[in-house]
Amino acid sequence: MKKLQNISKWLTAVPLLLLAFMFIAFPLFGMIRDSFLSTEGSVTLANYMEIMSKPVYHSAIRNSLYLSFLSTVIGLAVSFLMALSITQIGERSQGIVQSILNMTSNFAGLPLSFAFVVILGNSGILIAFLSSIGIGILENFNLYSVDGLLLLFIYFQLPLGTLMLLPAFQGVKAEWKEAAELMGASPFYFWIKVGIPVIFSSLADTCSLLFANALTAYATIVMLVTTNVPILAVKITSMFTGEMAQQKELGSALSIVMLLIMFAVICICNILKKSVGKER
Amino acid sequence: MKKAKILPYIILFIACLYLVLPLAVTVIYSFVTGWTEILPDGFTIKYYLQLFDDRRFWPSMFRGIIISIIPILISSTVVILALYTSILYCPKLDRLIQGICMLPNILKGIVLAIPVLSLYAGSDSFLGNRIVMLTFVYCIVILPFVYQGIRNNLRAVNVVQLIEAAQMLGAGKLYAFIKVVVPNMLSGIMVSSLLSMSAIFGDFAIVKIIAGSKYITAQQLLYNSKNLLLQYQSAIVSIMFVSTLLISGAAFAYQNYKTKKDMQ
Repeated sequence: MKKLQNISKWLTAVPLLLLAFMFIAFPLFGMIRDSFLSTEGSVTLANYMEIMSKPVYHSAIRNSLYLSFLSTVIGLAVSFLMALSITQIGERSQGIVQSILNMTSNFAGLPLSFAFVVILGNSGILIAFLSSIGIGILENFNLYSVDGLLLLFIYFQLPLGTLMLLPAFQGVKAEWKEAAELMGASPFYFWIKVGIPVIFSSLADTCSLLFANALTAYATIVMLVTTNVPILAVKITSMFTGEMAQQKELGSALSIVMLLIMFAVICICNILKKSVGKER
Repeated sequence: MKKAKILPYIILFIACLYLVLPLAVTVIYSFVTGWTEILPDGFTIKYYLQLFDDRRFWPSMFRGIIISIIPILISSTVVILALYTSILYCPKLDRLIQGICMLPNILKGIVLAIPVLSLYAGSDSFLGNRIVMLTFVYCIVILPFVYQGIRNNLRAVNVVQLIEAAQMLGAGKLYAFIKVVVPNMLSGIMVSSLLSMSAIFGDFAIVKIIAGSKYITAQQLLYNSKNLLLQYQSAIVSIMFVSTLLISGAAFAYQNYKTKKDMQ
């Protein structure tokens, strides 16, 4: 009887667990299984071998890593500066900047890529504008290249990164800075010794999130990606939904590769977070 | 003496310029007849009229909103039920619930949609239905919003004490939970529902992968317009952006209103 009562207590937690199991865990297991199957259904490593041997997958992985790492590092650095700056300006300006961040954090995905086509595409307005006033720095700019995409990636990382870091910066008390200043520490020294260690866990979390965000970005780039610039997320998706023959097993293996990269980066961020946490 | 700091303003000005520029130019561009020199050639609203004339436009906008309703109901219900167990019987469970609910912050878009499609696409059961699949994947997508909305509201109230007090007055635990605790969650649910709606309205990856041409939302309409005139596309982008802004703006406005009211 007691046991029955215990079970009934847990009953209300079941729907959430079931939902997560059916639509996160189970499909992921299915994907791992599929990645080791041949199209005929026998167990094989051929899918992974193909990924390792074909140049097109190498360049897709390379491009995705390049975009994700650079956009994360630049995004994190600029977000850091932005969040730091926000804490040092007047209250009214803070409100304006935060509104802009909230607004542009909603501007992502497909609409964002259309906007970039308008300003920086083949007949982009910004390019035309700059060259008509005699500034030619963008004349060789190609939105449809890896570096063109990087600009887009950095765009969607900035509002996200800044909004995530801001609470941590607001937690760094002004009194600490004053105390450090009284003892003769420069602002730079203060940030190295006190500021960054305090916000480090928030930095590490933001880093994981930005990286995952960039690696799996699809809507933002699908319209701009050409066959010359293969990107992992687009490549994988086309294997499951493309008009051509579907390659479920190979696509699964490629997805697993992407997930492994993502989890490796998240693990590194978490290890860093823990080790800095211990030092303190 | 504090010296006036100019550097933070410069940094933020440049960053905000970078963020606002694409958006502002796209909105302006939706109103121009052409723009090849320094200034636009002329202004017009014909692309908006053309868009409103398109019989597919408004239905596709509404489809993006309607598809979010069932996921909001399902996710809110299952999270509330799970929190019932964790708060009253097993506080340790909260870690697991939080873990599950925060997972879609990392596993999102294609990483959620593709495994589900791959597993259930050939299924003969109701799960093989693309709209059902889409609904459930959206349930997962919005878990972080739902969880955080509910949790933030509960932090202010001492749930265990509230329930004990209600029990002393003769109410059953479940009854007390529904009558006393759930109403406290409602304003949080309201905010998270609006944020969820805005997230689903803004989704393209998942709806394209799972529903394909079976469920055309405004996002898909925009994608299909990729070979049309740039001004026409800009008009769609502008309307979609304003819609998203209205939905999430409503969420923030409601939240501010609520905090102010609570503080009084």
